Amino acid sequence: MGVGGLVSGSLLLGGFVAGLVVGSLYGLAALGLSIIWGILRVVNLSHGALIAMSMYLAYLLTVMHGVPLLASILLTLFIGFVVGVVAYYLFVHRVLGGPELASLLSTFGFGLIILGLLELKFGGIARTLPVESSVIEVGHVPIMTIQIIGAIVAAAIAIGAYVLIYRTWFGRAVRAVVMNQEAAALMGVNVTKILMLTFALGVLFATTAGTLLALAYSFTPETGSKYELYSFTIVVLGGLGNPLGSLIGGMILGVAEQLTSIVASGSWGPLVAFLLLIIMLVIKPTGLFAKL
Amino acid sequence: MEAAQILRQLARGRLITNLTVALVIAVLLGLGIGSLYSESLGYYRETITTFMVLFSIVLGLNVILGYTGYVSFGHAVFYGIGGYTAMILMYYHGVSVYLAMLAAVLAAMGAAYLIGLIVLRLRGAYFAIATIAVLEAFRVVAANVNYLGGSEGLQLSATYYRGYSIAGYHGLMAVHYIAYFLLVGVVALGLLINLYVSRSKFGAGLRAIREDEDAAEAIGVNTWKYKTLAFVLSSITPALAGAIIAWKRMIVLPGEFFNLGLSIEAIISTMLGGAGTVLGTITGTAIYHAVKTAFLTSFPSLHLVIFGATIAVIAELLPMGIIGWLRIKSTKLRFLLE
Amino acid sequence: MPVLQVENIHKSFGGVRALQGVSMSVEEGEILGLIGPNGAGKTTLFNVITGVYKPDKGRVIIFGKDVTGWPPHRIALLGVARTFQIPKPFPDLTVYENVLVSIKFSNRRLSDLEAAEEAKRILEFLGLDKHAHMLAAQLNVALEKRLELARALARQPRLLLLDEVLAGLNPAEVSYMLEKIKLAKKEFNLTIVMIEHVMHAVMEIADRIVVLHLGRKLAEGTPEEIATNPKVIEAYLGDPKLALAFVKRFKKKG
Repeated sequence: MGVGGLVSGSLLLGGFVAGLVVGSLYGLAALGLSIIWGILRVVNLSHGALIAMSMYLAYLLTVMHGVPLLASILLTLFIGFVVGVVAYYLFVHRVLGGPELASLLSTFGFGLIILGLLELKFGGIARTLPVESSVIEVGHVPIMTIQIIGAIVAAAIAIGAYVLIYRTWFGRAVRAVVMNQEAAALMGVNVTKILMLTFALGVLFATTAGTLLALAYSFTPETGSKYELYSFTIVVLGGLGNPLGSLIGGMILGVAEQLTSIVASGSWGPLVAFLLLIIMLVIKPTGLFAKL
Repeated sequence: MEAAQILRQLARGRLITNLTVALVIAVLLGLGIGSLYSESLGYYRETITTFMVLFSIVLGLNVILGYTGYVSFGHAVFYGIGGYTAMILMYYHGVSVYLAMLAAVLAAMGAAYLIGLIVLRLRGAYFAIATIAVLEAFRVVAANVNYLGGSEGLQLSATYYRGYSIAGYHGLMAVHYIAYFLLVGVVALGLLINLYVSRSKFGAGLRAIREDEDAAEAIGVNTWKYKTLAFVLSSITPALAGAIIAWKRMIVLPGEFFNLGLSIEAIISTMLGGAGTVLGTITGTAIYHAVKTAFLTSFPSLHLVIFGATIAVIAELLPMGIIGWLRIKSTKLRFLLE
Repeated sequence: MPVLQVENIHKSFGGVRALQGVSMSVEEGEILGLIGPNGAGKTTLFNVITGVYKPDKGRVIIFGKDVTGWPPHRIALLGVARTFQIPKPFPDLTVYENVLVSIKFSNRRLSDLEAAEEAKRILEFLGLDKHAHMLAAQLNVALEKRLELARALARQPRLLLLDEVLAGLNPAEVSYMLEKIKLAKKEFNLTIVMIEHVMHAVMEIADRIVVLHLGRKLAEGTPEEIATNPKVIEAYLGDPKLALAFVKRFKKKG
């Protein structure tokens, strides 16, 4: 019993660290959902599909076309941004300010188009990226160094997003648009352009998280929906439009998920997320760190 | 327009709706009876069965989404609860499908009440997301609990079906016919519920909640009671359909019964026809089902893409749906189309 | 017995003390004006009276019943109706349907025909009959304000709470509304509490005025007393010349 307690104690420590690592990626993904939701008032139901899309884009470039990993990641992000711009005009612009259901369905429809194309091209088999990485062990839990790098990148982007929103011209324009579109327009802000850029930026964050997650985990077209639900949970945990809240919310969820998978089994992980989400929605729907 | 004149118009509209509803039920019944005697109608019996399953969820959803304005995005959770409750009783206790349906509907109503206590505090997109989370939570539980069959589900053996018969068909041969007629009954019940909501003071209160919950409360609507009742009412037909389909398919699986896709199909059908109208549920589900079937057979590999594009186009161009759009086109149509 | 009594109401939001011990009472048939600068706690007081907020301390007594902590719909069913500062019509229902719903929930047993006739009567009273079958979402501000009033009157209330029904109206529309409020008061035997910033209007129509300032009652009295009260001039009316103008108006009237 004593030994068992000791082992599980170090396992829990390992799970905690692994949770922080993967959680920062969840946080980055959630940030993509969060800024679109907070600023455009659109709950982007293509979020998960976009994450899956980025995973397959990286796969397509590296595995099927032999592009070096780093180059294919950067190319994927660029494509993600462009897709965001196009999607804004096709699926978002018309439903802004309309009934909630309209924006939920139009973005969901966009997500289905992506999923349909992914299934058509790649089928439902799980894929992985060819990544070679050393592994370090924290309390018997193996963590790939590339995951740690990914986590650091994700955290850096989240902090960068915080600076962008709260310390720059773009951020001021965005917040002006959030407060009052008409007034912002009178002040010379091109509202549509700001909204479009915000949407594309949100998609960029989602795709960045997707590619970083794909470095360490296998994926199918369906994988995105799990991260989408995680993102909802994190947004609700961390508050709308707050990058640091998303990061911390992501880490909380990551730790909760990893610890659950150690104590029970991996397939229970999502349940923890859903319960966390429902509890948060009920006790404090504005999130722990609401801002904007 | 004089008051009496308005009432006459409304009465005419109600007559049209009553006749349409009666016609729908008559056609469904006729097709079922026909299929008992003509093998060639078997294909239609099956595709109409699928239609009626979707319709059952739409008829429930219309109460909470259409009349009350709460976007229940995971409404298939009640279909799943109905299916699993019925299957547990049939699988472990050999209960008949009829008793299992009764238990399923009670379980779903109880679950709707309890879930409602939590999620009905939320408004707008938060409510929508919470209902997705509830659906997914149920799915994860179903996939992980041995008693519920885990990811393999629970499967009935053929011997269970021995006692069932209809018009000379016995056992497994009879199931598809009986399931069909049971579903016609569920659809009829769902239509009656919608007619009641559409015409009652209760429904007027729900509409007020949909339009502005604070103002509804201020004019004397007990909003909490009303929306809880609406949510409970909206669980009835999905649960019954779930129980029937669990019995018909012989198996319940987590992904098929707690199915977000099915929820969304129901939302699209409701929206396409015109949320919060009786005629809209019929029109929307019929068109959606026909189009989907056509896509699935003509472009099997591209159906998701086309489906997605269709959803987006409807959402962007016709968010109030066909009947909803007609209802705002002219005062006369507003009275005539319920 | 007063129609409405508010006793020592306290209400805070987080650290902000919106109401700090407000008491007042309104007699039957009275029109009470509730004025004060923005953030004085006027709308918060309305929300406490109508049950939207539960007060931290104090009691609300309506028609002799202690209704503190009751939900809004129960208070409404006692015969209390209100309008909202930012109008909250039912946007996707027609003007007629807006009023009809309100009639349905007004505790009267009416046949469908009676209800429809009642709706028509109220729409005519407020000049909304021409717009009866328009969606409420399509109304302009002036008509929207009238619909708010129509929906409140449709409940046949005994106590009516009006939250800035005159805000955003041009002078002609203001006098139209004032006229209708006076008529309605007579016809329905109403007691009215009105929050208002349009000072000349409230001075003209109110029997008595209560001034709120920073969550406390600053003053109470007849319009003339209020217009000449130095504390009120300092805290709210600001410009002594303006205040003087009000007083002159009253002198002229008197």
